[in-house]
This record gives sequence, structure tokens and C-alpha cells, in this order.
Amino acid sequence: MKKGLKHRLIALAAAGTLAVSGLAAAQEDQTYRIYVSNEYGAGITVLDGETYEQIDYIDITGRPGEVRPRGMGVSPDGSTIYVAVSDFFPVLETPEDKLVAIDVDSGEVIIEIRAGGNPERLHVSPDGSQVWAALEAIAQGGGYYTDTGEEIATFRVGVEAEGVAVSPDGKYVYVSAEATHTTTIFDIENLETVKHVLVGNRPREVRFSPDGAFAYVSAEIGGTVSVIDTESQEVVDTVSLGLDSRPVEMAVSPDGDRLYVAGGGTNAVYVISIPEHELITTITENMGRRPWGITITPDGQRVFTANGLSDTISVIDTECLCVVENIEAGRGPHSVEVGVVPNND
Amino acid sequence: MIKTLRNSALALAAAALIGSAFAQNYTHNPFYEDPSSHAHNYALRAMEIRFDVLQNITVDDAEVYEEAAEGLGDSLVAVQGSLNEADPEIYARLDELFDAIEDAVEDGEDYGDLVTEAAVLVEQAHELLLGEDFNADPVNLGVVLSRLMLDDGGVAEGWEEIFEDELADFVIGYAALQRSYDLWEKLEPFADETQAFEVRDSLDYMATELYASHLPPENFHLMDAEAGEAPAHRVVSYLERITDATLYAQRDLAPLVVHIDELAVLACGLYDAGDTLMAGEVMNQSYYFYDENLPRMLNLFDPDLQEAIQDSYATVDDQDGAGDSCTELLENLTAARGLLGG
Repeated sequence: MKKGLKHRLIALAAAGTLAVSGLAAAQEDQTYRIYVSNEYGAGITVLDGETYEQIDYIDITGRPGEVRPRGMGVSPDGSTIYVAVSDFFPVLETPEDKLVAIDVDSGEVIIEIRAGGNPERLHVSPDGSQVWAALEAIAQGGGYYTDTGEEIATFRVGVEAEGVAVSPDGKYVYVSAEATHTTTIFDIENLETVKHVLVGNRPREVRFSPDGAFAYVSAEIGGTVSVIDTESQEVVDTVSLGLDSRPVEMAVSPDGDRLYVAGGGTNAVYVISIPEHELITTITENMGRRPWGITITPDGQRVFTANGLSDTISVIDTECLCVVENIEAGRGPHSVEVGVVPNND
Repeated sequence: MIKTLRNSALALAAAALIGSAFAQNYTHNPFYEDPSSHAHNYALRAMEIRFDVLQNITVDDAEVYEEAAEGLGDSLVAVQGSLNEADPEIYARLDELFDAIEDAVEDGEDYGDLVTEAAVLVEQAHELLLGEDFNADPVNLGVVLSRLMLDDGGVAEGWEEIFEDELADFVIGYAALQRSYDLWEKLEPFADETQAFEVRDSLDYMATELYASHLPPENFHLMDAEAGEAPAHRVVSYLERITDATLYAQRDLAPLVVHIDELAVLACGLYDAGDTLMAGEVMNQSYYFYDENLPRMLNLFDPDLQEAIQDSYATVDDQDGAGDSCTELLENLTAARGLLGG
């Protein structure tokens, strides 16, 4: 697997403290990179976070059309990307079912973690020590230590596990499952399942608010986002996006004020005000086709969507809430993540 | 590591539905408003698809034809009471013909004339039960097209099943896709430009990438088993907008389980009244909504209840609603209603 990244000299602020998805605090002097997993191209496109120029392309196994990368995560220090890799044929176990950790500077695989059962999405714990995955074909969630690859736990979830997120305090992992319309809450400290919560129909992804008070679960057929109070661990609100909204992945703004929801089936991004749990606007103009993955920059100024049918990334300005650019990506973009540029000093 | 969750989860699950039930709706709700007509329409269409397989598709696998023939009888259940009421002779003859086709296929005999005769009767049945104009209504077209996309025996499932070496399901899925184009041509004038493009694009994707022929692509095992799912859902999503109708019966589980229960109650009443054919037809509708939507979810929250409901449906069917079979089924469905807040 791979070529080295072309090194770029970029001034960095102190690195190593920022979580990558849903960063707790934006630091404007930090630069970032954009990583796009290409389901059909079997590779990761790496873009400069300022110019949006492609600075590298990391092949995953070199077998496009046979093995696919989908969900991704980035270590808090930006040095490692984690990629959920699976065969296209979702049998219970294949040799290709794994989580791959890649050094972003060298492009080398640091560690491969066997994760049987067609891992679809993953989430890196806030401290970077663990990675948790939704294992779609075997209806399980799985957790692994990032330094050794050792399994922490696997646990039963609903059928066709899709989304996964670790709470900001690192104590719980939530896994959504589309065929059972559920989100399973797993206690990481005690290694036990707390409960299965019924959410909207065909749930796709889970995201936490930065303060950890709420978890949001998108429901593709329901056309909703279920709001789970993490204290009571119950659904306390449901945001309706429209029956034709087809929500999939989500990104929470670093300040916790907004939730951006990709409308995979509708070529749209829905913007929800978090305090009110209300839909503010729907962005459709100039959006790419089938936006699936979505992420936000550490400063909260840009949102990116991975557009599976147009092979592009749409760039949304969060001030005008409009698409300002569409960037070419690889074949079949699935997920997009932002990572700080690692400090190599 | 797995912790079994039972009763404690039930109340929580019901609570989880707060704020979600029927928060938004399309104007039409066909699966709830007229389940019988839509069941008839789909069943008759499914018969035609199986005729296509039996008469127009050549494969070197007898099982394909055997499964196509077996499915005819299953589809007949969906219309048996109504058709028998409308024209007992057509019903009886179709029943005979389907048995004869199944036997002929099994014995390797020629069944061409039998299928031709059955096809004429199915066309007559359609006119009797639904009338000529039924499939001029976009909502009705949307219902049957959405079911062809997503149901067992449909396009998306047919593709997925080839990965389990079920060639028959693939071939039936292929035939279903050809019929889907026919239906879409009638529906397309109701769509705006974007809707028409998106539906056509998704159908074309399935027709070229997955179902380029009635046989699976040579390298299908390297492809995505769920590759039919996304475009099929995309089609249904656009059909909902085109028809202004809810085509996902399961979008809200609470009203769905009520619907399932109410159909079962109606069927049990018909069994009590001695109308076994009509009772079986209505119970078939109840089971369809149950089987397509609830078993996996129930199996997570309460596997015993899920198993009990499955067993109850089977017992009612075996015993034609006799004894305690209906009572047990209705009790179990009441428990499911409690679970889902219905």
C-alpha cells in the first residue's frame, strides 16, 4: 500500500490536542487536510485544506471494484488516518475486512486491525487510544486499541450496523443499525450494553454534540434526526427534515450551534440549529449528486460533502450557507474527514 | 459481551417513538387506505412476471422455473377471496392451472399452453378486481413500482440473492426490472424534469450494471451485493414525491403495527364467519406487512415474541384460523403494539 505524501511546509500551532471530527475548539492558525475515501476508486484522496489542491492519493490494496474504503477517522494529532476497509461481498468474514491505520506523512500502513463483518464506519475516541467500528454484516460493534490493534470488545447491535460514535467523554459508544431502526448504547468502561433505543426509520449515522449532552441519529427513510439525551439515554426530540430528505451522514459545528446533515438521496445539505433543534435552511444550489459523507473544518467555516454520484467534494461556506466550490475527487466518494496537519517538528 | 435486553427495553423503545409518529405525511397513504386493492395489483403483476420467466427466459437451471411456478400459488393467495367472490370459475381455474404448471415444470413437460391460458385469466382477474383504469392512477402505479423495487421477489433483493447462489431470485428480479420500465413509462408524465432524470438514471444503472442480462455478470462475486439497494431506494424516494404518497409503509412503526393487528382481527373475524378464502387473503396482507418490516427489529428487543408471532401466523394458516390459533396470534400482536406504542 502506498506512496508517500508530498510534504508541505506548513506552519503549525501546537498539535496533538484536537479531535478531528467535531473538534472541541477551533484554532485558526492550524491548517488542515481533507481526506476523501473513494469507494470505487479504492483509495484516499488527500486535499490541501486551504487550496483544495490534491496533494496525494493513497491506494488501498490496489484493487478498485473489489475492495472498498468507506468510513474514516483521523487521530487527534492528525498523524494517522483510520479507514474501514471491506470486500464488496458482505459475507460474514473476509480477509479484507479490516481497519487500516495509515501514517499520513509516509503513506505507510502502521497497523491493520482485523474487523470481521464488513466494517462500514468507524470513530476514533477523543484521546486517540481507541477506534470503534460498526460491523455491518454481523450486527456488531467492535472496539480496538489503536496502538496494538488488540480488541477491546465486540457487542451485539441491531441488524445492518451503520453509524458509530464515541461520546466526547470517551465513556460510551453508540452504534446505529438501519434494518432494526435502533441505536445501541455500549458502556466502554464496564464493557456492557446499556440498551437499544428505537430511533427514526433506517438510521444511518450518530454524532454527539461537543458537550456530549445529546446524540443525533439521522434516519434515511424517516426523514428525521432523532435527538437522544445522553443523560436519560432516551429520545427527547425528533427533527423533521421532510419525508424526501434522505438524511445520512452528519457534522456538528465546533461551537455546537449547528448540525449539518447530508441528504444522500436528494442532493442537499440540511442545516439544523442545535439549540432549537429546528431546520434553518436547506442547501441545494450547486450541490454535487448524492452527498453522503460530510465534515466540517476546525474553525467551523467550511463544510465538505463527499458526492458519490458526481465524484466531487462540495465546499459549503457556513456564513452564506451556500456551495462555493466543487472539487474533483476520486471515483465514488463515500466519506470525507478533516485532519489537522501533523506537527513533525 | 452480549447482554440480552428484554422487558426493560420495551418501555424504552416505546418512549423512543415520542415525537416521531406521523410528524409529517404525504397526502396519500395507500398501504393503509386500500391495502386490498394494492395487494391484488401487486399479486397479479407478480404472476405476470413469473409468466415472463416461464415463457420468455431461457436458463440452464430447472430450479429457476420451479421457483417461478411455485410463486404463482403464493400470489394467488393474495387475491383468492376477492376473486372467488367476483368470479368463482376464474379463481378455480387459475388454482387448477397453477397446480398444473407447477407439476408440468417439475416433470419437465411442456407448459406453454397452460401459461398462455393462465395469462388471459389473470388479465380478466385484473379487470374484475381493479378495473381498467386502476393503473392509470399515479399513486397506484407508484405502489406497485415501489414494491417491485424493494420487496422480496423484487429487483434489489434479486440482485442480493445471487450472492447466495439463488439464480431464480436473480432471474425474477431481472423480469421485475423489465416490468418496472413499463410501469415507469406510464408514471413518467407525472414527474418533473429532475424527478424523471433521477428515476430513469437509477433504473438504467440497475439495468446496465446489475441486470444487463437475465444471467448475472461474470464477475458478480466481486461486486457489491447491496448495489441494488441504493438505486432502488432512490427510485422509491422520488416516486413518493411524484405521487405525493407514502410508499414506505414502515416509516412509522407505531401505526404500522396497529395496521397489522387490525388486518389480523379482520381476518380472524372472517375465519369465524366461515369465509376461509377471504380470511386467508386478508391474513396474507397482515403477514406481508409484518414479515417485511418487523421481525428483525422485534428479534432485537424481544426474540421470544418475534418467534411466537411467526409461529402464530403459521398455525393460523395451517388450521384455517381454527381452535386457539387466532386468539394466540392476536394476543401476540397486542404485545407487539405495546412494544411499539401502537
